[in-house]
Amino acid sequence: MSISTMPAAEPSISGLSRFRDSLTRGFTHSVSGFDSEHRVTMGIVLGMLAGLMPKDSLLAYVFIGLLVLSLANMLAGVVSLIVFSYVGPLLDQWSDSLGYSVLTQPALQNVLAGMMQMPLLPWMRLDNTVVMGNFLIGLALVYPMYWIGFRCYSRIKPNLIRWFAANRSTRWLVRNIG
Amino acid sequence: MKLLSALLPRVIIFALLLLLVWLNLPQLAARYMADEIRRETGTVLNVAETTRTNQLDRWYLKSIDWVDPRLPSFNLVQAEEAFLKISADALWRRQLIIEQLQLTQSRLATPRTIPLDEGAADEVSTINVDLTGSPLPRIQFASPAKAAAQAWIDRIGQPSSTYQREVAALQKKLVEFEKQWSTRATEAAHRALTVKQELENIERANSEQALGNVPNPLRNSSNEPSPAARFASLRNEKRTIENSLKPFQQEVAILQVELERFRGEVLRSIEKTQVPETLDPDLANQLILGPAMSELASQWINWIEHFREVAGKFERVDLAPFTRGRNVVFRGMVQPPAFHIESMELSGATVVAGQRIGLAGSVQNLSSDPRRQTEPTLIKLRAQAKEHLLIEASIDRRQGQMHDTLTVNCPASPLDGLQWGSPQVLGLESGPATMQTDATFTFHGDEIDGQITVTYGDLVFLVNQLHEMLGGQNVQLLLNHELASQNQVVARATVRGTRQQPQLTLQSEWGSRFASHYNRIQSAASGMLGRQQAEKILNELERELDRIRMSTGGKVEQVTQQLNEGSQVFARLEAWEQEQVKAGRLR
Repeated sequence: MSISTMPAAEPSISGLSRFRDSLTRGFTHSVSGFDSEHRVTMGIVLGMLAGLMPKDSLLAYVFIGLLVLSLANMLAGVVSLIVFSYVGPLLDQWSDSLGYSVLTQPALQNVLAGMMQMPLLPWMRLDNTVVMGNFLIGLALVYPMYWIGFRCYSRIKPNLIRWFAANRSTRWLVRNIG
Repeated sequence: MKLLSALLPRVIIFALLLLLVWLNLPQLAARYMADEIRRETGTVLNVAETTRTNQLDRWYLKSIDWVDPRLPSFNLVQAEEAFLKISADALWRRQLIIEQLQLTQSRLATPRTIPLDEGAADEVSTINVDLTGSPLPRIQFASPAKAAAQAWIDRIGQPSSTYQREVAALQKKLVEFEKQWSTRATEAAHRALTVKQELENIERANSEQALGNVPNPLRNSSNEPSPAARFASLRNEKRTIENSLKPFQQEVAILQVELERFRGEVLRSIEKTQVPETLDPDLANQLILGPAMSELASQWINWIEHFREVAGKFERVDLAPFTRGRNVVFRGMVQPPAFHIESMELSGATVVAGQRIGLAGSVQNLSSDPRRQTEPTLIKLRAQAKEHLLIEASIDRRQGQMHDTLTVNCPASPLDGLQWGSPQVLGLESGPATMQTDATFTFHGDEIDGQITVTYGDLVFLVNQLHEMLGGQNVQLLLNHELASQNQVVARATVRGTRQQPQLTLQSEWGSRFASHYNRIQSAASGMLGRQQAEKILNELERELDRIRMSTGGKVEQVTQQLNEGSQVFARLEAWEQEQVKAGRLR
């Protein structure tokens, strides 16, 4: 049983009230973490991609934008972003080597040089070894992270909902807002 | 509908985030600019307040503080306000190109009082830049004219070098002569005294014998020589002493002759080989203006080289601590510098060596990577201190070359009294005057090509030292009379060569004017050059000989006098002897 299936407050009559209800429900769904496993895991993956990127790269903000605008769970995404922001610099040693080996590939020179001449793309800083390395590491971790996240969340979800339902403040939140 | 209701809140969140960014755009822009400058140049930009205009590419910054952690002692720039216009097109390509930057009430190179935050000074090695005005090592210029001038000074300073050896030999001979004759005269005096005393003893004995007190000393006995033999012995002794003293006068006469002969030789030699000490214009320029111009050129080149060296240190600094990873330049990609100021106008002041210097001007094409610039950096500055300077510089580091040009124009400024020339040979002094300097230097790697034109106005020279070989005080007075009318001097110095071995060539019409005056005066006063000096030395020798003649000759004279006194005793004794023989008292 998810919180979205719980009996809602008394339905409003006017369209404006319906719109307000829809919005508040959407917000609570987005941040509460009781979405489907798929959405939560998607949040974790997007948060990981954004977190691994150095924050002076536009790619980090692209992933944050995707996290916000997609149906991914934002709470999971934000937690993942924070965690991987600390993990990212720890990988610099390897990401630098990986990024350098990719960026110096002769076959990619023209493509990358062309990219750097285009507007906005240079802001992604893909010419930087750490950005490219972490981007590739992040891409390589997408499926493993999705698989692990999906499995883990499936297991802890019932307990999490139970705990959430037992929590007085959460119940109050759902009763008065959701 | 369900999807829409799910997405709508997220769109609103996203819009709120964008709104938040928009509201904080000035702070974010300032932060971005500071980060970008930090990453690209290693310097730290602190901005107290950022405001934007109606146009997004124009910004006002207040209380700017631009510092470099590698320079621990001072700030690069502090300004109350700055206006900047950013290139929006370049910003899309992630280039921070500042099309226009105006700094007002700026102060350059101010002492740092506030420590850097965020540990900005950590992990960077400091670069020492000395702005206290401590003297830099002076550059030694080489040039044939300078070498010729030095040789000329050396030659004038040692005029007697051609006959110095002979003079020394003669002096040695005089000393030995004096020593030898002093010994001989002393010995002769002793012997003469003995003879005299013996004769006086004989005379005293004779007179006592006449009174019948003592036996006749001339009485012949078996173990005494005969009176004739004793007289003969004493006469021989006296003659020997006289003979030993006779050569003194002869030798003095010989020395006198030798000295005269030497005098003749020296003077003939001087007349034969003496070339009048004329000045040619190059020599005059080098002698009089050379040191001052060399000093000026040395100062300019030293400062330029100092700043080039400091700038080179900044270019070589590894900025790795300020960024993660490495930026790869792709093959065939022309990547302009990430931080580039197209035009910067500044007005402010700085303090160098305790002197406040007002600065106003512009800098064009200043970037974080001069090697990737498409145009060289151009600097136009007007500096106002005790002197007024207009400086134009071009710094070209494209493709790693080091090609710099510098043009300096210093309008007429007051000049204190100065000393000129060589104080031992030809020294001049000048009173307060004006000086205008125009200098152009081109540096290509280690090669220097420069020209300095200095125009001195209201300059009145006074010769305060002129060597005797050049005519001494007589010529000095006449020269000063001629120089009193000169009041403008234009000197041009050309510097070429490498920074290790620069060569300086000097040109000035003043040199030819001075040389002309000097040569005219000198030709009128010819004959008192080498001859004067030689005669001075020869006269000294002659005085020395006279002194020896007087002192040693006095001793010889004293001995002769003693001998003469002995002769009188001889005469009396001989007369007495003859009387005794006639009387039959002596056989």
